[in-house]
Amino acid sequence: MTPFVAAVVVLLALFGAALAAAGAYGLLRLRSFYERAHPATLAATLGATSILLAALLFYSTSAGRLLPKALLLIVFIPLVNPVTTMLLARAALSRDRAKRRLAPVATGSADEDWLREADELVRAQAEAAKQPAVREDDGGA
Amino acid sequence: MTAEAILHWGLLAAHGLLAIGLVFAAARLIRGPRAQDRVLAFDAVYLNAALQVVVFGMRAGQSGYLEAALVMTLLGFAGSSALAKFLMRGEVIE
Repeated sequence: MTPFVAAVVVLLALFGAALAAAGAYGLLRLRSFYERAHPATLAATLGATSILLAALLFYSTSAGRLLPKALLLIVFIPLVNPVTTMLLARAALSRDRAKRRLAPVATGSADEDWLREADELVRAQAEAAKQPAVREDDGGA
Repeated sequence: MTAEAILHWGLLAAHGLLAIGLVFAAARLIRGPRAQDRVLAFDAVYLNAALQVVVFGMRAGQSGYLEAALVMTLLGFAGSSALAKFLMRGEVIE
C-alpha cells in the first residue's frame, strides 16, 4: 500500500470518527429529546459511510481486488438507523401527548415546548385544509 | 513517513475520537432523563462500538471484523426498534 492510499484511508476514518464524536457531543449537549434526535443520525449516516469507505479502500487495496463486505454495511447502516430514530420520535411524541392528557400540568421541561409547537403546527394545517377556497384565492391574488 | 506509520497513528486517533463519542453517549444513557433519551443514547452507543470494531479490524488487517460489525448493527437495530415499539405500545407512562 502506498503512503498516498494510507493517507486517504486515514483521512476518511478520522473524518467519520470526528463526526461520530460531534454527534455524541450534541446528544449530550442539546436541551430536549426532539433536538437530541437530530445529531444522533449524524454519526449514523455520513460518519458511518465515511469510516466504511475507508475500510472498503483499505481491504480492497490490500487484497488487490474489490471486497464487497464493506458495501453491505454502507448500505445497511445509513438505511436502517434513521428508521429507528423516526420510530423512536413517534413513540416519544405519542408518549408526551398521552402524558399531557393524563396530567395537563406543565412542568417546564424543554420537551413540552416542542410538543406545544408541534400541536400548533397540526392545528394550523387542519385549519388550512378546512378552507381550501381561501388558500386558492390567496395564491391567485 | 511509511504507509504503516500513517495507518497506525491515524487509526489510533480515530479510535480515540470514537471512544470520546462512546463516553458522551454513555453519559446520556446514564443521565436519561426519560426512557426515549436512553434508547436514543443506546442507539449511539452500539453504533459507535460497531465503528470501533471496523477501525480495529483495519488496524489488525483482517476483514473478518466487518462481519462482527454487521452482526452488532443488526442486533442493535433489532433491540432499539423493539424498545421503540415498546415505548409506543406499552401501557405504563412514566
